[in-house]
Amino acid sequence: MSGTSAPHGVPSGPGGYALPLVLLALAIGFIVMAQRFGAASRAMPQLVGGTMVIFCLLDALSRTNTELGRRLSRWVNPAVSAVSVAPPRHRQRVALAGLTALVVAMILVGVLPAVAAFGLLALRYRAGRSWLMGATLGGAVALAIWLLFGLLLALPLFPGLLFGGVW
Amino acid sequence: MLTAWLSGLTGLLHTQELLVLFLGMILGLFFGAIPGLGGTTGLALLLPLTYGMHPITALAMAGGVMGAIPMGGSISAILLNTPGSAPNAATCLDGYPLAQQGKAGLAIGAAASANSIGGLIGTLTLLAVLPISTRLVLAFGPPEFFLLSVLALVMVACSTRGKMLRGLVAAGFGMMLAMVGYDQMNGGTRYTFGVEYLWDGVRLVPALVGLFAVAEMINLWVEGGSVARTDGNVRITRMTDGLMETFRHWPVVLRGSVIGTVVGAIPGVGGTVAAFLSYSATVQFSKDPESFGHGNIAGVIAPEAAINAKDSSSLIPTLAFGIPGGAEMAVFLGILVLHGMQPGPLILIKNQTEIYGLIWALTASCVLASMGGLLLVRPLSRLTLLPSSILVPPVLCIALVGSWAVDRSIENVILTAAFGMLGYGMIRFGYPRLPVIISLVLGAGIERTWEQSIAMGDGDALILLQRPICLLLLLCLSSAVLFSPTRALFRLLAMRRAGRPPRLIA
Repeated sequence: MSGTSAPHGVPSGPGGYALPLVLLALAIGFIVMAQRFGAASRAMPQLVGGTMVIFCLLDALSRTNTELGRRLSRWVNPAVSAVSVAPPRHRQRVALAGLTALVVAMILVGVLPAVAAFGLLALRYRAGRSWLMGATLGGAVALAIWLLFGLLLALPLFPGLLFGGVW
Repeated sequence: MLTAWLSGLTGLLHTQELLVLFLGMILGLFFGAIPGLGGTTGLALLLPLTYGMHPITALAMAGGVMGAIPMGGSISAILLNTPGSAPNAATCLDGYPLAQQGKAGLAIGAAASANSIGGLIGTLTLLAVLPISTRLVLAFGPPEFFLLSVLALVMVACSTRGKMLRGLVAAGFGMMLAMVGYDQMNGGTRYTFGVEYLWDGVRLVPALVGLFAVAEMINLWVEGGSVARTDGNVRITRMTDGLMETFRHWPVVLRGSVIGTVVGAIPGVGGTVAAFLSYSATVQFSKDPESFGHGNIAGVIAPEAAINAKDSSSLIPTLAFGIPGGAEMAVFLGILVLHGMQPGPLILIKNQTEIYGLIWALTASCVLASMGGLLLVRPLSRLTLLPSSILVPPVLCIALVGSWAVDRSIENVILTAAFGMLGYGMIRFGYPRLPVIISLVLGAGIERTWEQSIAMGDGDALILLQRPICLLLLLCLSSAVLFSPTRALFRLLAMRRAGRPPRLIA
């Protein structure tokens, strides 16, 4: 949401319209795909998709620096004038990459090793703690998960595809 | 009637039943507080454990769990902005801002007392209504269910402060997701892209965990610092004030309990709708609606009273007609069947002791769980002072493993992460996340009741205008849509009259 603000608080430039336009494209794709279904099956998707198209167009319109845009924003989206400051991009990338890595690790090597490794690395590199502290917390989280899910709830934790887990 | 109440009470007053009730209450607090577990998962995980127990013992455990889950969920909703179960999402709206202002104790105290009072009102209603519940539920047909669900969805979208249009966009997006999977009415699958996992649709628990717990954890991770935004701002010295706030806001508690009781008695609508309807009604009746979303204590009391009241009244359709009011009730139905009790009008004759024992267990759990929650406030409040870099990894891992545990499907973990990223994107771009979940919960029901309504009207949607309850619901729907623009218009006119330039934030 960073960028220069239009008079009614919506970021100006193409970036300000990106999200409603992406959602608009999704809604149109949703309607197009619905044409493959039978008449009864596509009725509700068409209704939902059509409504979504209208909402997305209104959302995009409310971001324009025109009288209509300002009015729309005032009536139905007044709080968007409060533009937040985006955090540094590299932090966002690290967080999203960290989550992806955790999921991939859980799938490949199993829940417990993935959790322990994630705890260790997150504490070491994100929180700047010592390796010992990281290992302690990572091990504690893995132990807690094993106690809760593995022992208390008697759920055999996913061992990972590399260690016999089945998709 | 009195004999039945007493037989239920005496059935429960045994050491084993009381111990199991207490254990259920503790587990309920635990399941409720951990984001990603919640009532449905908790009950489902405990269901096999009740096998072999006496029916009243099993129902005591179920009552203990169900009565305590809302309190547990409200603790994590207030402290971490990550609701343990979907209904507690409404508590986040004002509970979390209060925690950030150092008033976590106040919010949790208010939540505890609202929970107890709401639960008590709910169980009293259940006791009164259960014998005559047939007429109540039969008054609602598919057209009424359809309009009530749409009303709930629109109200949730429109109650997003100052972002009505974005709320509606989010609701529309959620409805699109709700169309994914097997088409129950017409057969075949839609929007599954050949992925077998999606045949059952976008599963609610992973979506919920991702959109709330994981997204919030990503946001915390990115922003850094502690959950509490300023150092040392979490104080719990006003817990008694919190308890008293509920009594000061007695109309809010009463309204929330009534909404929860009414909505809970209607199958398929569920606690999330009850909580948000109660919240929306409180915002709209308030003289200071702008303060909601920024830490108004009434915004905590309203949903909490509704959630616990709903839990009791949702037993009405489950017990009387075998129609589960929601996912949690569906699991509870499984417990009844597992123990040889057939839900329906005869259950009140054949299993009187067990059913009234369950009601007593639920009542006791509501009160005990609030006390237990209050006792745990101090250590739990400290959670918000933890640096996010230490808090995020364990919560993220537990949330992901919790979503996996629902049906031991690794695809759940992927879906949870995907919804986490989506939720984070929605936070960053200023779109409310709640309407997405409400749409996911109600989407299938909306489509089903729409098609049933059309069939009832011989292909004509005018049936929605021919039934008195439908007309009332349509009136409410119009009011919900027009409320925000009308208020903005009046405010603008007032400012023009006063000679001030119009403000953009309503």
